Amino acid sequence: MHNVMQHINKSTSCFTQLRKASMVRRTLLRCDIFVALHSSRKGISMVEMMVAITIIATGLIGMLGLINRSLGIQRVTAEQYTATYLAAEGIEIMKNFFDRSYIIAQTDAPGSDNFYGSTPPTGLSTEDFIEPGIYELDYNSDIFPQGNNALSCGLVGGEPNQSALESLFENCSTARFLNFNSATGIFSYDGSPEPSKFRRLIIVDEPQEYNNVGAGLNFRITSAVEWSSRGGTFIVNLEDHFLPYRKP
Amino acid sequence: MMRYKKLHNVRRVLLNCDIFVALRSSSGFTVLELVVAMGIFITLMGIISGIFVGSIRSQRTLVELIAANDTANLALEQITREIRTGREFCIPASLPATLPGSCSGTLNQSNILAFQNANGATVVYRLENNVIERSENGGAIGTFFSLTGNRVFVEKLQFYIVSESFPARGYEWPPRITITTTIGSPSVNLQNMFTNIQTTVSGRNI
Repeated sequence: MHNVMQHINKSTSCFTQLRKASMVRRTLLRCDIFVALHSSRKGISMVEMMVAITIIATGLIGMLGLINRSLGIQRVTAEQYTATYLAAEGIEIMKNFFDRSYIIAQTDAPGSDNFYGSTPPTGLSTEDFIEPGIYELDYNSDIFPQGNNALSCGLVGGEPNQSALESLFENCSTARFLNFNSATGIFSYDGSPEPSKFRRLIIVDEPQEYNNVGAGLNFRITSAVEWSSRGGTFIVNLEDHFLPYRKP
Repeated sequence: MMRYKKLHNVRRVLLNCDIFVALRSSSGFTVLELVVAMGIFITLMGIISGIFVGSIRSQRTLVELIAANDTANLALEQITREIRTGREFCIPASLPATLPGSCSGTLNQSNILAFQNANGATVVYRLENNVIERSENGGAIGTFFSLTGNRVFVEKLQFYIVSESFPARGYEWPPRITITTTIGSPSVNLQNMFTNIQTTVSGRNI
């Protein structure tokens, strides 16, 4: 026992000694655990971890918020479908009027050069002939409104491009909203219950530079639908050219 | 004497180890601090996981809505293309329809449209059980195939032969057909989201 004590006295470390004294051994075991737990601070504490996760999560909120917003944007996409089909309808209505104009011209003077356009055969009313201008037509329009500008909005000077259309819709306060009849599902100018959010203008003009085919034979149709939704004002803009492809 | 020495040594060892020093000056957190911190943390995580679940749900909703719109769009595209080159448009009085002839003289709107396509086949489009169907055989029983799958719910489909009601004023009108449709999705998340589409086609065969 005495040897053991001497051995302890010489020692500086607490790990390698006192194998035989049970009380001391117990103490050493505690010592061992405590040193490991408390003095080696190299890991990540729980608080540090919580702070880190909180910062990351706060960042994630922003990103996830964007995904939630996309549902609202999807509504705009659905409206874009509707607007695109309405704009295509504008082109088709004009095509219908041009084809009728063709039928009239060729019935009255078969084989004539009067394909369609603004010069009706003698003695006929002008209601089925087409003049350049800005028009509002709907699915059951059967009389082509005459006059250079059926809307008394200034004509589009130059190309009817996106910016020209934007200012046209902005300045043309007489442009009407299409009404939507929820019972029949029809968009029209009929006096049906609810005005929809869509406005449509059909612009007819004759650009001269196209193929030099002559007046009354080269029409450019621009069908534009405008609506306001969350995120601003949108315009769908379709263009088509009617040429004498069926020229006799 | 020996016993005293022994105790003395033990004490020295213990001091060397710094055990008790460390125990006495421990600078940890109080229970209150920990509870508050955990409370804030859990609340924040709750909010975030709520947003996360919501995002996943709206993403799924979005996919369903896009699928519904795309399917309906494709069907509508096919119908309008075929109408454009078609002739002898009519709202059939009964099916199967033979063209020209078996048109209802009075109706100019219905969810059934019959016409001859560019190949001379008698095509019938109709809405049946919220699915758009097409037949090439005049709409005889068993000849209908669905154009829209089960990912779209076609609430309404109406064909209007608009030009039939126009005053002729001495000249024929080219055929003008207006289609209106209301599209939804069978998904429970999209029960009240409908897209109303209207378009018009002018027959090119004049």
